[in-house]
Amino acid sequence: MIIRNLLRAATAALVLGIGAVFASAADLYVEWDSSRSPAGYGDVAEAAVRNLNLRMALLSEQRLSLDPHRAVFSVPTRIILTKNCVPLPTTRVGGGRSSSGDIVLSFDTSGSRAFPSDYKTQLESTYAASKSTMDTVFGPASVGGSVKVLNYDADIPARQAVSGGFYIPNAPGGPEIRFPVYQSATSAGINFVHTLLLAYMETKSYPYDAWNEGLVRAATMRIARVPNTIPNSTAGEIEQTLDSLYDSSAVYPWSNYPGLGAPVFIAANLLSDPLPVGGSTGGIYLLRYKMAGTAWAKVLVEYPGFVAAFNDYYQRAVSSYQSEAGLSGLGQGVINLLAGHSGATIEGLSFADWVQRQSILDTSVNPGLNLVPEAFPFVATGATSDFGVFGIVLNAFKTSPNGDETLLSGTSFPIYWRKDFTRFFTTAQDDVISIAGGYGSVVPNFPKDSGNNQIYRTAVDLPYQGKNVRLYLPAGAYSTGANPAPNNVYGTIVGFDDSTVGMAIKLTWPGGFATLPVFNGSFGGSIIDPNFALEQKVTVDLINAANSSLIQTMTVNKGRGDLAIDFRSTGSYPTYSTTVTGRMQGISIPFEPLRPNPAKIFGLNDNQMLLARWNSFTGRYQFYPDDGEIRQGLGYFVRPPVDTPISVRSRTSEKTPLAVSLVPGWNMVSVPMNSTLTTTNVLVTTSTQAISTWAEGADILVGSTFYRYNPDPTNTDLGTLVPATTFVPGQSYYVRALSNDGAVLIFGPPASSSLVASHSALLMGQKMANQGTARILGRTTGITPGAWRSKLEITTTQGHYSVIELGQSALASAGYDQLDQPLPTGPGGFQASLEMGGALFREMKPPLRGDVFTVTLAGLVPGRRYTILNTPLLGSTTVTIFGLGSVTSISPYGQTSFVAGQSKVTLQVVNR
Amino acid sequence: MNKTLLALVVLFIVVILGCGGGGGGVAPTAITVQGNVLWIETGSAPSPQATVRIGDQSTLSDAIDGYFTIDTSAGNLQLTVTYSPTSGSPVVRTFDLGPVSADLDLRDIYIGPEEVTIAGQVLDSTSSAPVPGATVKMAGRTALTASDGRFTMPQVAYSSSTLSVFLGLQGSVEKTGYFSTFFSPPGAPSGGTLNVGSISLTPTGSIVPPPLPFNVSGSFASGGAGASVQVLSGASVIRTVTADGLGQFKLWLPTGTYTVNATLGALSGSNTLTVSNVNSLTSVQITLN
Repeated sequence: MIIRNLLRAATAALVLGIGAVFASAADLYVEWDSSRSPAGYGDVAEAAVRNLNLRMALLSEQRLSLDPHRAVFSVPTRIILTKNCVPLPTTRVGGGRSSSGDIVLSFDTSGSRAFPSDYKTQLESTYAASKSTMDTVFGPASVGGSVKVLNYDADIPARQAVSGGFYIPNAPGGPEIRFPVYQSATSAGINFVHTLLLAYMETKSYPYDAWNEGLVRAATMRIARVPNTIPNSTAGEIEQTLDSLYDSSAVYPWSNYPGLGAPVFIAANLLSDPLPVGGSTGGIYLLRYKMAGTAWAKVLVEYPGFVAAFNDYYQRAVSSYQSEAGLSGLGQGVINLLAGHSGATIEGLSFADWVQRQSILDTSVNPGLNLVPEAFPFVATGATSDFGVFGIVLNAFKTSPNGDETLLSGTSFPIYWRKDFTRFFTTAQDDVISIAGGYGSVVPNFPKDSGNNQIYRTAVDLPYQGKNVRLYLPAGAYSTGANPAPNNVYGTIVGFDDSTVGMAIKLTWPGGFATLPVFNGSFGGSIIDPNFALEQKVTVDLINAANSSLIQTMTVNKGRGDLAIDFRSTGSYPTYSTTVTGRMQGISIPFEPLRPNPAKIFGLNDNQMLLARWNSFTGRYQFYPDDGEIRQGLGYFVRPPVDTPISVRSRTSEKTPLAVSLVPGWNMVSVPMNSTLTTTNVLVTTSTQAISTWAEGADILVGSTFYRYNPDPTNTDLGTLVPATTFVPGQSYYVRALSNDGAVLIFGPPASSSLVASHSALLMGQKMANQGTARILGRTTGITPGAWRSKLEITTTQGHYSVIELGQSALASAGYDQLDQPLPTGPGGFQASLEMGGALFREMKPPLRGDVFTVTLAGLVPGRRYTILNTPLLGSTTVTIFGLGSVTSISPYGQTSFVAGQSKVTLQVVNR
Repeated sequence: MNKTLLALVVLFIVVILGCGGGGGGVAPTAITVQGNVLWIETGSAPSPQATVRIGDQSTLSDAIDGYFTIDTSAGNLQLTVTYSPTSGSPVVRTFDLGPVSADLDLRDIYIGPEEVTIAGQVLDSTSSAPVPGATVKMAGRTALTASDGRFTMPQVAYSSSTLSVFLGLQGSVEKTGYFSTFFSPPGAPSGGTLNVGSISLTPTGSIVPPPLPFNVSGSFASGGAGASVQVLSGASVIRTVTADGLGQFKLWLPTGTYTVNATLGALSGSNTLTVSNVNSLTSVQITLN
C-alpha cells in the first residue's frame, strides 16, 4: 500500500512539480527537495494543507449549508515529507520511546511562529487536561519525545474553511505540529486533541482512511466528551462542534450504504483537478469522515479500551495488518481480549461481520456509478399540517479503477411509497432532485393522510442513471406540525410486512426501558430519562403488542443524543451462495452485496475478472474495472476461468417490493429478491407517471419481451439470448425501456401480487388518459377473428434450443410494429430468427396477405440433427416450410427433423 | 397571329381566370393558436398583461398564468408579444411560427428584457457523430441542427439581473430515432451568446438486444469464413469459436498471452495474442496457409 501510494505521489509530483501533494489515508505526502528549497518544507506543507482544506470545504459546502450550526470546516492532517517519493527519515529530539513514552510539547516564545501567550496557554492546558484520557482511550504515544507546536497562519481568503492543524513527523528539525489560531476555544481544543492523536501515531498510519482517520475521530469524540478535557468550553459547545464535524450517530443507518467507503476518503483527482464552479458540490467527504468516526465510536461504546489495545497491537507489527482482512482479524482478537473470552461480538455480530455491515469500512475501490443517500429530520413548523419533514441528499459520483471520483450531474426523480407500497406524490419541487457536482438534495414534507394520520414508514427510492437506492424514513415519527417538539427515538421496521399482529418496539438501556407502538411500520417517541442521551448499548426488541412476546431482537451501540433505528428482519441480511460455472453466462446477486466489488466477490485479480454490463448511453459494454460494482437488481455477463463458488454477505428489504431503475434503451437487470417472479409480479412506472402493470406498460414503457442468456450446451463461450417468461434469481435479463425518462420496475414478492393488481387497477384510469387508451385497448382486446399465432421450437438432443413466433393479425402491419418482437443474436451460437430488416423473435403480419416468413437458423453444426416443433398459440395452423430439401408441412403440435448440411440455412414458412 | 398561337393565348386566359375563380371559392382554414406568455425574470405571467398578436388578431395574456388563445387562419404565421412593464423599457418580441396548418399549442413562451443566442452541438452518444435535423427548444424558441450537428438559436429570452441563469429553464432536444433529452445552460452568456457545448442523444437503438461482450476482435488475412479457432493458454485450450461468414471472430479473455490456432479444411494458421487490459479491445489476425 505504501509503495502504491508513493508511486501515485510520484505521478502527482511529476505533473505538478516540486511541492506536489497526494492524499493517502488522511495523510498528505508532500514532495520536498531540501537541496532546492532548504527552508521551504513548511511552505509546501502549509500550501498542501490549505489546498486540502479549501477543497474539502468547497466539496462540502452544500452539505454544510444544510447543517443548522453551519460549522466552519477543518480537518487536522498528517504531512509526510518525501524526497523522490521516499519518506524522509524522522528525526527524534529528546530521545526515542522512553519509559513514559510521552510527547513533550515545545513552543516558540518569539517570532512569527509563536502563539499569543493566552492561546499558547490554551493549547498547553488542553494537552494537560486531556492527556490521561488520551492515553486511556487511544493508548500512549507510539514514540515519545519533543514535538514543536508552531503558529500556522490558517487564513484562507474565501473563509470557507480554516485549515486544520497538521502534524509533520519527519520535519527536518524533529516532529512538529503547525496549528492555527482558532477564535473558538472549543474548536481549538477539539482540533488540537485530534492533531495530538495523529502525533501519537507518529508514522504508524493505518492503510485506509476508514481506520486511520476513523479511529482518531472516534477517540477524539470520546475524549472531548469527558468533562474538563477541553478547557474553556461548555458541554453544549462541544456537542455542537462534534455534531457538525464528527458525529453521525443520530442518522447513521440512513447513510450506511455501499459506495460510501473508499480506501481514501477524498480522491486524488479532487485535490488537483479543477472543481465545479459555483460551489455546487457535494458533501460525501465530510460524511465519510463523520461516518468513519461514528462507526468506531460504536465499538468504543461496547469496548472502551478497544482503540488503545488495537493501536498497541497494530503498532507492534504494522506490516502484518495492511489489508482489511488482516485488520479484521486483529480486531476480533482485541475484542476477545477485552471481553475475556473467544467469540466476542459487537452489536451481536462477529468483528468481521460487523465490519462488513458498515459500508464506510469498505476499503475497496468500487468502480462505476456510486449512489449514497443521506437523510436527516427537521423540526416541523408548529400548527401546520406538516407530518414529517426530512432532508434527503443524493450523492452521485463515478469511481475510476484508480479511485478517482467524478462528480456527476443530472436529475433523480424520487419515488415515495406508503407503507403498503402505494405510491404518493408530494409537491412538484419535492419530486425531483437536481444533482450538480455530485450532490443533490430535496426536503419533502410528507403528508399526514398517507398513514391515516398515524406515523408511517415511507420508502424513498432514488433512481439515477440505471441504479437505485432506497431509504426507509419514519414520517411523522420525529416531529409534526401538531407536535413539533422532536422525539429522540425514531425508526422503521422492514421485513415484517406480512405480520398480522400488532407490534411494538421495546428499548432497554442501562437503568431504563421504554415501549413504543409501531404504526404503519414506523415508531417514534421521546425518552425522558436523561441517561438515554448517553452513548451506550441499547437492546431493541420487536415485540407482539398484545402479549409482549419477543419477535426479534437487535443491539444498537448508540451515540450521544438521538437514536435512529433501521430495524430489519433477520432474513434481510442473507448470505447468497452459489457456484458460478466457468463459462460465459448472465448472472446477478438477488440481494445488495455489502461489499460490491466483483473481483473480491469472485476472489480474482482485477485483470482476471471478466465482467461486463451494457451501457445504453454509450452503446457498448462497460467492462470491469471501468465499471461493474455488483448491485441488487442489476444484471451482468461474467466469464470465470473455472467453476467458482461465491458467498456474498448481503442486505435486502425482505417481504417488500423493490425497485430497479432502467435507462432508455436496453438494460441488464435482475430480480432483486430470491424468488422467481413472473411479469404479473412486476409493476412499471417512470419518474413522474402513475404505475402500470407489466402488461399495461408493455410496448409503451418497456418492451413486452425480455431476454435471458441461454448457454450453448457444448461450447462454454457460446450461447443465445432467448425470450424469457420469468425472472429467476441469479440470472440476468435484457429489458428495454422505451420512454425518454427510462423506467422503474417494481418487483413485488409473490405474496404481494394481489396488492400489485389492486393497486394497478386503482391507477389504471390515469394511465389510460396519459398514455394512449386506444393502444392499450387495442392490445388487450386480443387477436382478431381469423388471426393465428404459432411457436416454432428448434431443438437438438444435445440440449440446443431456440424459438420463434409467427402469425397473422388484423392489428399487425406489414412492417415492424408493436406485435413484432426483436430477437438478439449471439456470437456464433445457435439461433433461430425471423428476418424482416432485422432479426425478430416474433413477427406478426396482416391476415390474408399470403406473405412468406423468412426464417434463419444460424450456428448449426453440420451433421447434427435438429427438430422443429410447431405449437399453436392462437388458432390451429399448419405451417409449410421450404428450404429443407423438400417442402415440409408441420401440422399443429407436429414436428419435423433435418440434418444440418451447413452452419446456416434460410427457410421460408407460409401459412397453408 | 396564327390559329395555334391564338388557341394557346385563349387557353392561357381561360386557365388564369379559372384559377382565380377557383381560389376565390376556398375559405382559409381556421385554426387556434394558444400558449402561455411568461416573463423570464419571474417565471410567471407578465404584469401588467402582455398583448399577443397574430396578423390582425390580438388578445391579452392571462394575468394569472399568461395563457392566451387566438383564432386565426392557417398560413405562415408570426406571433408578436408586446409588454410594457411598470418600470423599464417596453418589450416587443416576435416568434416566427412557420407554416401552420392546424391548431397549435406553443406551451410556454418566454419574453425578457434581453435576448441572447444559444449555440451548441448535438452528438450521438454512442458514436459521437453529429446529429443533423434534431429539434432544439428552449424558452419558446426552436432551432434545427445542421449537418455538423450544430445549432444556433437566437432571440432567447434572458435577463442579466436574474440570479439564476435562465431561471433554471431547461432546453430539450428531440430527434426521431433518439430518446429525447434535456440540457441546462451551464452559465451566463458572454457577448450575447451562450455555448452550451455538446449535447448527447442516446439512440432508441436497435430493437435487437446487444450482442454478447468481447474484448478481442479476430480476423484472417484473407478468407477464414467458418474456420475453427482455438485459444490456448499454455497447452490448455480455453476458448473455441467459429469464424463467421466474414472470417471474423470475437473472444472475451482475461489479461495474458495466448496462442490462437485456426483451421479451415486443410489450411491452418497461428498467432500470438497478448491481452493487456480486460477493458480495452485487442485485435489479432491469423494467416491461413
